[in-house]
Amino acid sequence: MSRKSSPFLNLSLRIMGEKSSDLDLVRGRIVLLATLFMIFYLGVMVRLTDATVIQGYLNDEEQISQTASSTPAPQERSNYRADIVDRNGVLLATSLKTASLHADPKIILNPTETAAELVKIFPDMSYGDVLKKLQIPKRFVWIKRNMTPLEQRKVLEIGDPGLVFDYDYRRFYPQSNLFSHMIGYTSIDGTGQAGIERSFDELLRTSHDPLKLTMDVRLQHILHREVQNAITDFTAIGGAGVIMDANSGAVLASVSLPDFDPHAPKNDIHAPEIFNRVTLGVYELGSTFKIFTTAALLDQKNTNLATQYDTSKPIRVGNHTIHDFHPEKRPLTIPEIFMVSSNIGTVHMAQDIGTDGLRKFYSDLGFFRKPEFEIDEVASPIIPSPWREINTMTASFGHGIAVTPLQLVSAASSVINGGLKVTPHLVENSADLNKPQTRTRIVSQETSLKMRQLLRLVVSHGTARKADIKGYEVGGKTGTAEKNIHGRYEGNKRIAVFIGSFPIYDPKYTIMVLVDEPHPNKSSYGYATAGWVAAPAVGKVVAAMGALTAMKPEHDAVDISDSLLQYVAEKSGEDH
Amino acid sequence: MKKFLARLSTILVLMMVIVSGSALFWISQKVQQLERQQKSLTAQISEEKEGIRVLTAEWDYLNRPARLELLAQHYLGMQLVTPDQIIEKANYIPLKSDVEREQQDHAIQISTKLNGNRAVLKDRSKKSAQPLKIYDIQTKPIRDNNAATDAQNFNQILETNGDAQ
Repeated sequence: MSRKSSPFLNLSLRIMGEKSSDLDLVRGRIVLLATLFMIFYLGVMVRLTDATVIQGYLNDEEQISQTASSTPAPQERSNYRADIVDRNGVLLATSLKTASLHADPKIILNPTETAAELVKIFPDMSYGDVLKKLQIPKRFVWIKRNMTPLEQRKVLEIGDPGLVFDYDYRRFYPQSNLFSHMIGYTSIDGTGQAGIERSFDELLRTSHDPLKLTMDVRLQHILHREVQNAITDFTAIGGAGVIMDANSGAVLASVSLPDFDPHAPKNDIHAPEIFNRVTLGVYELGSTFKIFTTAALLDQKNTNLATQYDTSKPIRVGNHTIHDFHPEKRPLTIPEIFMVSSNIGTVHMAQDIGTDGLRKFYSDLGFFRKPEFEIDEVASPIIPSPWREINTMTASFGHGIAVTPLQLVSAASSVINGGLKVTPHLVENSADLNKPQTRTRIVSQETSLKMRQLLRLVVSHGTARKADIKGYEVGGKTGTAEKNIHGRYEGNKRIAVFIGSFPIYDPKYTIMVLVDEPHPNKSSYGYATAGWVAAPAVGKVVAAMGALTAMKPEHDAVDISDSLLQYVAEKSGEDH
Repeated sequence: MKKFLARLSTILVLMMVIVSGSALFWISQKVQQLERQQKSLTAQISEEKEGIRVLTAEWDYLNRPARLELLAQHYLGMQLVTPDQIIEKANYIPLKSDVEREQQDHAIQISTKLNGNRAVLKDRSKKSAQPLKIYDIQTKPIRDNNAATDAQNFNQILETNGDAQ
C-alpha cells in the first residue's frame, strides 16, 4: 500500500500476510485492470450477440405469427358492446370488428388516381368529394366508416401509403327488422339510442356476458308474419302484436309495424317506423275492456251469470247516446252480453259495479299509471280527469280511456291466468326465477275460471269465431274502436284488436293483434271489424305456435264454454 | 498450500459466476421468447374469437326464420304445419312399404283419423265394408333401432288379420 497518497492513512488498515514487492503490486494492478476490461468487453460481446443474432432470429419467428394477427385490439377505448340474445341464445345484436378507412392527405402519393380507385370501390361516393378530402391540408380525414372485408381488400390493393385503416366494433343485428323496436339501435359511436340498447347502455358497454331476453325469434317471426299479412290484406296503415307468457308476464314476441332497419334508422324520431306501437301507442281499445268490466262485476258483486240486463233501449247520458253495434233489443244474460259484445249491457253492468268499484279495479290492473318496463319508450295512459259518471259508462266498454297494448295484454293475462297480477318484462333474469314471488291477486280463482269460459264462448259462438283453431282451445275478445283524431271520432278510421289466450282451459300464452285503420276487402264482405281482421290473425299465430311449442292438440277436449250455453238464447250471436 | 487453496476457491467462484450468469441469460432469453409466444398466441386467440363471432352472427343471419321459411317453401315444397297434422304417436303413420305393397295388391284407403287409440285400415277391394282393425300396434315411438322390428310386427299383424277374413 502506498503511504503518502492514500487518504485512508489515518485509518491504519493492517493487512496480514507477506508484504509484496512493488513489482508484484504493479502486476497485480495490471491483471486487475485487464480482467475488468475483459469482463466489460465480454458483456458487450454477449449483449451484441443477443441483440443481433438471437433477437434477430426470434424476430423472424415473431413476424410470421404477427402477419396472422395484424390487428391490435384496443379493447379499452372501443365501441364494444355485449351481445343481446333471445331466450334460446339466438343473436339479436352483436358487435363485430370492422375496418374504417381514413387518409393522411400529406402522404397521399397520387390524389387523383387514388380518388378514382376509391370511387370504383364505393360507388355511393362522388369523385369530387373524395378528391377534395384527399387534398385537404390536414393529417387526418375520414373516408369510409365500417367497410366490409371485401372492400378492405380492394382498398389494400390500391396500395397508397396515405390510406390508413382503423379497427373498431360495429353493432350488427342479424335479425334485421324483426326486433327493431324492442332492441333499438345505436349511434355510429356505439351509444344506445333506443329500446334495450338505450336502457341497458351502461351494462352493454361494460359487460362481456350476453344479455338474455325473454323474446323468441321464432315466435317473433310468426307474429310479425301474421300482423304483416293482416295489414296487407286489409290495407291498414299499421299494426301491433304481442305474445306474452300468461303466467310470468314474459314478453315472448312484440311486433310494431311499420318497422325499420336498425342498421340505418331514420334520423327523424317522429317517423311512423320508429314509433313503437306496443309501448308508446295509446289507444282506446274498445270492447276488449269488457273483459275487465265483466271480471269486476263477477268478482266484486258475485253476480250470477244468469242475471239479465235490458239492452233494448240505447242509453242517453247528457248529449251522448250509447248504442250497440248489432242491437239485440232484448234482455241479455251476462254470457250473451259478452258474446255479442253489447255496449248497453256492459254499461248496465258497470252501473251495478259503481264508479268507485270500476276505478279501483282498473287501477289494480295498472291502467292508471305508466307501466314499468325495461325500455324507456313507454307512454302513460290517457285517463279521463275528472272522472265523472259518464266516464265510468264509456270506460266500461273501452272508450274515453286510452292505454298501451302492452297494458292490455298484461291486464288480460292477470285476469285469465288464475287471477294473479303479471308484470310485463323483457329481460330474462335467472335470479328472479328462484326467488319466491309475492304476487298480487287481481280477481279470485273462481272469477278467473268464469272469465276463461266467457272468453271461450266469444270464440266458439260469438264475434271471434275466426280465431278458433281446432285442437287448441282459443278464448278471446274482439274490440273495434273508432279512432279519436283531434277529439273527434271518425267512423271510417278504426282500431281493430283481438286479445286471445290458449289453451283457454289452462292459459299459457296471451296473444294480442292490433290493426290500425283496416279497410274492408272482398273476402270480409265489407267488414273491417276485429272479428274479421284481428281474430283470424291470432288464429293463425296459434296454429303456427302450437307446432312450434310442441303443444299437443286436444281434439277431444270438452269445450269449457259448453256449460254457458244454457244462458244463451238460440238466436243470439249470429255471425257478423 | 494456502495460496493454492485460495486460487481454487477463486476459480470455483468464477465458474459459478459464469454458470449462473449464463443460466440467467438463458432463462431471461427463454422468458422473453415465451412472452413473445404468449403475446402472439393471445393475439391469435382473440383473432379466432373474432372469427367465431363473425361466423355466429352469419349463422344466425342465415337462419332467420323468414329466410328458412322461404327456402323450405321454394326448394322443399313445405308448408306450415296445421294442428290436424300433429298426431299423438309416430306409429299411427302407416309405413311407406306397406302402403306401396297394398297399392300393388289392391286399393287401400288409410284413414289417419284416430278411432280411440287405433289406426284403422279400410279394405275397399272386398265387398265387406268391415274395417280391418289393428289393435296391437306398439305405442313406443319409432327410433332407428326398433324401426325394423316395428315394421315386421306391423306386417305380421296385417297378414294375420287378412287371413282371418
